[in-house]
Amino acid sequence: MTQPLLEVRNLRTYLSSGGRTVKAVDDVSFSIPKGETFCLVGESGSGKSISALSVIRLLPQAIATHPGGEILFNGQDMLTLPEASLRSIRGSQIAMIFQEPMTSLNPVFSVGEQITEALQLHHPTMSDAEAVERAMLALEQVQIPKARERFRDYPHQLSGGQRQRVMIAMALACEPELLIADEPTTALDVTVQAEILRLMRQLQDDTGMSTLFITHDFGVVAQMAQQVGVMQQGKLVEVGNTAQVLRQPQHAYTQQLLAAVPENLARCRPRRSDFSPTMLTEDVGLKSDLPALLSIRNLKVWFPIRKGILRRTVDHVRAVDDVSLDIPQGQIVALVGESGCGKTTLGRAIVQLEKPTSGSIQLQGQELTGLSARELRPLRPKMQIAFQDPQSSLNPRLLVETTLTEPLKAHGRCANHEERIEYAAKILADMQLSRDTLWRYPHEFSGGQRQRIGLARALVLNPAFIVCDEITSALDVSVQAEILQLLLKIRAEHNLTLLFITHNIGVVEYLSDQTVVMYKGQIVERGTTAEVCGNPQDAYTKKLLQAVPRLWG
Amino acid sequence: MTKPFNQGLWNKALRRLRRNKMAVGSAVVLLAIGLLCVLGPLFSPHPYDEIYWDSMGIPPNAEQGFWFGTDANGRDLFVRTLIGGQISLMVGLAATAVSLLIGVLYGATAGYLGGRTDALMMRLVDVLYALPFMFFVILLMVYFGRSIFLIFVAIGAVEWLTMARIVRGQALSLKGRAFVEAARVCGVSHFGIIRRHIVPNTLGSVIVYATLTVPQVILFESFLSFLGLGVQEPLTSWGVLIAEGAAQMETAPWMLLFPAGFLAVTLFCLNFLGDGLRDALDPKST
Repeated sequence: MTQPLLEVRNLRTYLSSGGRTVKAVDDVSFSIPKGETFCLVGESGSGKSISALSVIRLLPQAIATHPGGEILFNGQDMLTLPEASLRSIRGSQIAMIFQEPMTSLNPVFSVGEQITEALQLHHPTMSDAEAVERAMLALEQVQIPKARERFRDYPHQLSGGQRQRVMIAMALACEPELLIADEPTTALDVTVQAEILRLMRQLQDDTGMSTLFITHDFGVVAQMAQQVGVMQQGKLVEVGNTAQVLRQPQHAYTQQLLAAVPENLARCRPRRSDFSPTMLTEDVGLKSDLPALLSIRNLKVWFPIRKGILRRTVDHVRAVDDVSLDIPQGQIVALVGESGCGKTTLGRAIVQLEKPTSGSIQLQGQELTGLSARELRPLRPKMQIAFQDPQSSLNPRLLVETTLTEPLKAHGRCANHEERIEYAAKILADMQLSRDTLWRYPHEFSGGQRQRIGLARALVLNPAFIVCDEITSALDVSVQAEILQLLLKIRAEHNLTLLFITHNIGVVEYLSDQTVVMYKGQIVERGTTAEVCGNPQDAYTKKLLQAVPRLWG
Repeated sequence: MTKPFNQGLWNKALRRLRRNKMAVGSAVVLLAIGLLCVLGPLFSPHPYDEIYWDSMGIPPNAEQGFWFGTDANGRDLFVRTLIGGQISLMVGLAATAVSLLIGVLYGATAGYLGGRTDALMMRLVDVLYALPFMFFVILLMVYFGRSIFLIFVAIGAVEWLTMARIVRGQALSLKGRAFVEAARVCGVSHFGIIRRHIVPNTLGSVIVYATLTVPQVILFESFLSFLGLGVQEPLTSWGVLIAEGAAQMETAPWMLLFPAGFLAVTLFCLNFLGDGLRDALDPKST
């Protein structure tokens, strides 16, 4: 067997700050042969990014130390090389692309200039004309349409997917032997992700480079990698051939992670017949017989685009454009679509966070649009919303107790504060959180716990209907699985109707009874989840479903 | 029994503040200066406006009871420094408190309500900004006659504008945060949201700005006094004493050093205390 391109042996990376030392990477060994892809997969904080940054030696030396191990790249140990030689390796032999395409490009230079700069840094003798020509070729190589015209464009003029293509073009311009990709598609829509992944595979075939691919998504692993390593708390708990690891995981943690993937959750979900009678009728396709809890007619939410000194309205962004939808009592309706399709705006309009331009929204027969804040207040408890970002969904300066009792107080529920606290504690117990959660601040909790507190706040008013806006998108798969299971439990206990906004098809298949697909502000397809996901009719739905990276081929 | 709003926050903040030695030290020094300014003159053998014709501009001298020396007019500098401190601290703290109260409420309301209300409220601020300050003060003096109280009003009326702008900017970004929207969906009133969700989250920058405002106001007051619009002889303030002392710097440095020293120590302590308070009020700091 020939020597692998990259061999990491017993790597340790310790991060120290403020007197504390964290073993971010602890005795990790793996190797990548020429032309192959190795995936590092794990939950946030498992040390996968730190491992990758250690390989390219990009960690700040003030806090990161490597008390042990070797990183052999083409036979030389990256850990002992001086900074000058490292710099000549970075970019030209090892290139890196990052997760966030907006922040990894410099907004004040055109994309062409940035690629040209990267080229000339590593080939100081290259003439300007040649560098420009090479950069154009690189842009064409990553299949940016009309690459030559886009050369002078600035990053903000490109879409997220195009920006990521530019990043790849920049990384590949110097023909590196190893590409380190740190969650390159996590911030992208699933259809765009599919295109980028396809492009990366193709470029790898063309150039014969190796890739160290970091992701948290097992679907992506299945598509990209020959070898996979699973990380947990800085340790590599399992390494092996991708198909083998995914099908017959040996380590308990890998098994647990794989079981939490929504696609696999769907397999463990009890059969429909074990569920409530409403589910049965739904299964037979009688969904129209269920009384509609919420009905939306011809809803439009347009945002004006204003120009000039007088801020005259010149045009509108049609975020939601003529949508009609019934949400039946007791159902979980999934709303899917790519970013910018208007799904979040629709959810926000339903709970009256956005004022609709026209159309009607009726909750239990009561018209919601056109009501003043005062008229709306008594109706507020019936419908609630839970948000995506666990960081900003709770007020950092309030005790959880205050956050949970505030809505009760606003509506004059319970006789006194003690009763309100008791009630809040009961709801927290429903969310499987202990009572002392009440007396803590949000920053003391993990992302998953914060999402549960956010859900508890939505539940304290005992609503009939909750909009869940991507509530699991920022969470790790295992935490996501817990939250989803919890949602199913409380749905039954509280007799809830849910509108679950998401872009994750796996979650939709696991959780929802009905699915609604939105595209460019309009509903393109709706039906029971089994129908929509199993036999999509609309062209966009088909494309969306095909783009989902699947574990099982 | 109902728990008052945010009692937990303040209790914990106090506990955190106590652990910050710099802040506690500063608070002690500030308190000492305050007490000295209030009580000191009572124990001094010399009244602040008595002129000793035989001892003009003499250096510090414990035998005669002139611990800080006398000024060019032969008045005891120790008592005058403390009396000046009373005025300066009072003006500084009161005007800052007024500007805090108005500025924070105004800014938070404008930023949170947004849209046309915000535009109207902030244009009013712009107009007030554009008014020449001196003109404004002179107008006040002409109408209402001269008094210490008017100095508070005049300075407070100007200082709250900047505070309102700072708070409004923060409120604008806060109102888009999910927890504010959640509160709206829960049916919490506008005032409740401003009070509980907007204002507490602006505290960090508000406190830092407030500690910067106090020295600014003290200097402002000395400027007004210098022009003859502020405190009048024989009453005095640190700003006035420093201005007088600066004129005699080469021949009688103590006239500058004592009041300036008091002012500098006060400002130092305020800054440390402000930093400490900001950290203490942030639940994230342990």
